Amino acid sequence: MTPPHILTRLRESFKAKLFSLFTLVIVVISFSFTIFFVRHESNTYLEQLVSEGKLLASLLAYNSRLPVFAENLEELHSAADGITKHDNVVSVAIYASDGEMLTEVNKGGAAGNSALKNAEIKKRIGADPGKMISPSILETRDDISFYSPIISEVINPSTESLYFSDKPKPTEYRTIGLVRVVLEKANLKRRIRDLLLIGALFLGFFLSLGIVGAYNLLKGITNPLNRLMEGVRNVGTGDLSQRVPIETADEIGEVALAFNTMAETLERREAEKAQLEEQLRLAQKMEAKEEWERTFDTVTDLVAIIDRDQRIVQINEAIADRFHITKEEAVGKNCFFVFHGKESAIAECPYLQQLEDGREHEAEFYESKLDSHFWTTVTPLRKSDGALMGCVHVSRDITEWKRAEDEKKAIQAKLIQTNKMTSLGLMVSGMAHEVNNPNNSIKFTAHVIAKVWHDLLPVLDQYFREEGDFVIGGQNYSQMRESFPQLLSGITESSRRIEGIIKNLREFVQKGKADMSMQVDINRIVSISASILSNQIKMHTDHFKLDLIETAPNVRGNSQQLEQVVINLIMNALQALPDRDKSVRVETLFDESAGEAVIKVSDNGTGMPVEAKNRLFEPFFSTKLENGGTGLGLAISNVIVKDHRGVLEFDSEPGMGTTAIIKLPVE
Amino acid sequence: MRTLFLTFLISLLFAAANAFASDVLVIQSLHVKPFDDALRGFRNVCKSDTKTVVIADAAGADMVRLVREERPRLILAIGADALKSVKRIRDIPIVYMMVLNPEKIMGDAKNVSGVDMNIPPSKYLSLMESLRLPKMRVGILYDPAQSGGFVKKIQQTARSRGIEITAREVHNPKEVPEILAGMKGSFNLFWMLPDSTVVTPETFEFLLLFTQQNRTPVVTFAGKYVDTGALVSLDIDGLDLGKQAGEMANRVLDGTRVSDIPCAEARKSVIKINRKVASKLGINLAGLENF
Repeated sequence: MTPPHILTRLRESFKAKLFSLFTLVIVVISFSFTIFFVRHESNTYLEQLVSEGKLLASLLAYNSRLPVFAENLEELHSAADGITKHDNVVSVAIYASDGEMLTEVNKGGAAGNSALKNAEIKKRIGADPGKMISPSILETRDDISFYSPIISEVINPSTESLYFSDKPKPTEYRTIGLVRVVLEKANLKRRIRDLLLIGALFLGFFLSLGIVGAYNLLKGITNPLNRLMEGVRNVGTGDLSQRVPIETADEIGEVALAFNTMAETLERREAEKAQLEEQLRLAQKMEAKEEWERTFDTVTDLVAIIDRDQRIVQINEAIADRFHITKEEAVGKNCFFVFHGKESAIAECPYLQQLEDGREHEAEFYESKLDSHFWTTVTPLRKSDGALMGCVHVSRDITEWKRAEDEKKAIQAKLIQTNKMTSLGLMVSGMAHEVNNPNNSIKFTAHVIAKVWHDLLPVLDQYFREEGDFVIGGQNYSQMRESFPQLLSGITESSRRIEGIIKNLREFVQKGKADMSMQVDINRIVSISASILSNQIKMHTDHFKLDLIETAPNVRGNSQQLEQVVINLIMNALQALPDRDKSVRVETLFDESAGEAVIKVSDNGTGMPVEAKNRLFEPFFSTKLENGGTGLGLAISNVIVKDHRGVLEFDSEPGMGTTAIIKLPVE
Repeated sequence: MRTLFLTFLISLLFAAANAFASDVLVIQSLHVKPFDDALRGFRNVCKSDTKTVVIADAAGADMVRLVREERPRLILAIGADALKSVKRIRDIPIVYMMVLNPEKIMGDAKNVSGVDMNIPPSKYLSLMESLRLPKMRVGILYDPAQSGGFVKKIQQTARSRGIEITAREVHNPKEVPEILAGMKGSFNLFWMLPDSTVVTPETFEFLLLFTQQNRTPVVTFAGKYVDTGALVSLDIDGLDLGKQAGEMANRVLDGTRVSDIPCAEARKSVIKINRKVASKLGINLAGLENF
């Protein structure tokens, strides 16, 4: 360590500071004490000198009273000589009241500094004796002169006062002379020199003693302090288990004790804090979990977390509601069991695909258990290291959406249909006109031919009878005679059918023009229809049954149109029968609760496939196009029933037969 | 100014008291115990109305005028100053006491009588004799101007008793040490007289030192000197002195002409002995017991 570093270190050291302070204090105290001591001693000595001088001067003044009074110079000299024998006295002089020097004694023959002028002496003698009672002092560099007046009591004029013991008043004093005692300061100076020497020795001694003592004391103070500091530093760096040895019972010991207590408290606090933090973390975790679960449960989609083994880890409230299962029950169960009621995963399960490729997958389901459609998204759930740990299985109920979509599609189809119909109507209108004219011509011609045949028949019969049988039109007349009317009837019938079709087409196109205000008896409708179709019925079945209610309610509408519908339905039923053993049943009902009159046409024929059933009312859709079906029958029937604010429904199973139901609101 | 005011005040006081003029006007020099004792003794005996004026308190007051206004039947003067203040009064009888040498003040005035402070020399000499000193020789210093008369009386009395007296005149206190030194060996008892030339603080001290050095006992006139080193004192009794003067006053007030009443010496005295001094000087006090 370089000297400047040591200096810096020392400057910053507490011990060095304290030591400097102590040393400074000791030095200051020692110096002060020494100075005080020397000053005090020299002052004391000076005071002693002064009191000695005063005493000597006073004594001499007192002793000189009688000699001065009696002007006995010998006595005075002896008295002065006696005083001169004292150590410090260098000169003694006695003056009379007129300033005349009565005697003077100088030690060692020295004249001393006795040249005080006569005037000065007189001044001192002339001063108020009351104030002069104590000796006055004149100090020079080398000596001190003491002047003490020689006081005499004033002779009382009253002789009687000689008797009285009362003391005379101070004014009754008078000065009869002056004593001067000169004391040298040589001893004082010597004394001060000695004192300074002793003081310096003591100063050095006490200074060394003090410094050594202070150093040891400080060592005693700072060593425990250093250990305390070490402890504090260790605690500061986080070692709360640090304890400091308690070495002394003083303040530092108390600090050490307090420090240890503090460290203990800190340690305990730290532990408590850690515990509290743990609790807080747990609480936060719990809160976060609860919040997450709340969020999880708030989602209306069906959300489930599923592990790699397709076991449910967690489900949300929506799933619990929909599948009537508690969350706790669901946990650990297989998803396919809970969601689909199956013992193994369904083939189209998107999670299986995800388990294969680890990607997100989507699929649409129809869940028959819930009669709902779902759009399911399976998102992979990964650990922080990216390993797949399961999936988030979100299913959205799209039943409503799908329904809406279907309706949208139906509306679109209807729109297309309407467009088609409109075009068809235009075409039909044109075609009807174009077909009607030749048809009328055919019909008329057939009628004319029938008339001709009727008129020819007697002639031909005549000829037959006459000539025998003959060939006509490639056939024998006898056969022809039988078949010709039928042929003619066939022409007429076909023409009539064309006419009917045209008429129907016209009606279909120009529907609404019919009179809808009639009171229609459904029983009658059914009866008429059955009678009209009696030939066809005979042709198709042996089991045709009418089951009419006794009093059928009237419905408002057009009887012809309704007849057309019923005929159509009976015709369809007959045509669906594979053989004559199969039956057709027409019944009328009154559903009072719904306020509906019901006409049911049932057969146990071939029934319809779903495909056919879905397209029943589509114009020109027919399963019997090869048998002469136009594909318009049910389309028209449906329109007619709807015009009557009713419903036409079908219930059909392939092989099981079909039931057509017309529901009409009762007036 | 102050004097004028006091005079006026006192005049006023006595003018008012005129109608009830007192029988005795007491004029006292100053307030000291012997004077107060004397006055008390006087009052014990003389029951007449008294009025007291202390000169020291009424500094500068004209006593003659006061007396004129007061017109007492008798004036009692206590102390030399008191007597001096009324020495011009000749028509009112004056009785004095506590005055050392009244004749020096009053001369031959006829209206004056009183009790002297001096104790008769015979009493002193008897006391000295009772000390039983072998070959007693008495030394005396005196100022003839002050104590000349008294010393004559002493010498006469001593002569009649056969006692040797060595008396030296002193005219200035400064002479005392020298004269006394010159008298060394001529006496073995020093009689200190109430003489203010001889007795000053310095001379008393010198005297005591001298007598102690020469182992000479001192007989003095006041107790206070016994305290400071004299052997014995023969002092007046202030109370009795007052009584003596009171009796004198009664006679005057009863009609006796004051001129018919002679001045008297103090009839009672008080002895005070310093036994320590006595033992140091080896003096047997047995004779004194019977004195």
